[in-house]
Amino acid sequence: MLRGNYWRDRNTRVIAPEAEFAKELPSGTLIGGGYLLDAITSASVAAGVLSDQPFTELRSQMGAVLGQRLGPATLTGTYRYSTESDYWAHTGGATLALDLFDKNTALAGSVVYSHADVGRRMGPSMFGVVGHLGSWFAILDGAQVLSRWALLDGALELSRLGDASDPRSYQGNPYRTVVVAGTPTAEQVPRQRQRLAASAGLRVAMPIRTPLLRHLSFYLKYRFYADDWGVVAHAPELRTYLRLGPVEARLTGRYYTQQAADFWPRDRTGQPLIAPVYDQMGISFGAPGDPNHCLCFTGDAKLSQFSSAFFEVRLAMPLWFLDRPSLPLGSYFGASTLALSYGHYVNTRSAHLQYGDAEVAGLEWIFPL
Amino acid sequence: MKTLLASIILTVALAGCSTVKPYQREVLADRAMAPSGEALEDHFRQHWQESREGGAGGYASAGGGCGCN
Repeated sequence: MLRGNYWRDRNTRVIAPEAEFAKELPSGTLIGGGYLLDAITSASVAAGVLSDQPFTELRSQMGAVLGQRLGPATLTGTYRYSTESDYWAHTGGATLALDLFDKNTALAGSVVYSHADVGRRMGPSMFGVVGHLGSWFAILDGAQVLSRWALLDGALELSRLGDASDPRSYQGNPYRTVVVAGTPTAEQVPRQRQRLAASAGLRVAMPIRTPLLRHLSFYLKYRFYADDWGVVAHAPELRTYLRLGPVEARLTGRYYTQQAADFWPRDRTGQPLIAPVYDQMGISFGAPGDPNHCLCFTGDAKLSQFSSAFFEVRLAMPLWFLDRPSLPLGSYFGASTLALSYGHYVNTRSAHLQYGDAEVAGLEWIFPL
Repeated sequence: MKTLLASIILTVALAGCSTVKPYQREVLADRAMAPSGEALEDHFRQHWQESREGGAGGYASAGGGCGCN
């Protein structure tokens, strides 16, 4: 599968081509791999520097998957490495999946660990390491066939980012500053963050089939998120799939809303401010004797109170017309599918102040191995 | 422990909802109905959502790995 991703908001443009393959061998061995290149062009003001000079940063990410099917169970190991000029991360994990009750039930459990070194650029060719981030993820997910027309899925994720007892544990952005008592200051956030995310989704196909409308289904899902920094978020989403002749259309609508972190500045009535300005030296987070305690201050709009909405249209079409004897590899290309998507992302309050709206696009070519 | 036990009981109970045979899965086999049918696209969406929103995870694959903070 080849895919090109595009993101554009007020300060940042991302062009990210990627390639991924997956194959199950006759022996039941699963192999897979992928590569992604993130070309990120940002106005450096967005990164915390006072003068606005656009620069492009490249991030490379490569991953591999190896698994083995053992009867109804599948054991899989994954590894991913990401590198950019000031951030390096290794991520590894293992998954055990089970197919039960004649494959009407699927369950999976995963454990993932990620270690990242966080650096700060100091000039065009020098950087310093400001800290690291070790993160653990435990994920349970499953799917249940409800009928010939309906499928239920869900996932539960518990994660711990950072380590409160490690003075080098770092979760901030070394380039981001925030006004504290009138002075721009590098942000300071807790060393550790514990998160919970749970999602559920229902896929329902309509028993409608006409010469033109060959498939109609809906996917309604909802995700709840909460962490010990005080951020609580809700994200309902609806996807509608229609197949009109050979073309598959998907319409997506997603709404997101979150509360601010406990250490986001507030006004006298307790309402979160839109612009992060701290009158005093930070907001106390955690008990004074707690290793995760800090006088915290942040300019990260992701920790503010805001809402967002995302709308997307995707069109996919099998390239069956390329299956011609006169065309080299015609039967191969004829079995592939081309997909194009475009979406618009809007947000409010602090997020809109910092990022603005965004355009998201993708071009995907899926072909069999 | 109680949560794990409740999960197992719920799984067994849900298995009694329906048993659809392989030859009855014409609709469920459609790409639009497959949970993993849009994995690569969902991975990119998860990536930019984590770069712009405080909430993350809950979608059966761990994110992170980039300095998109």
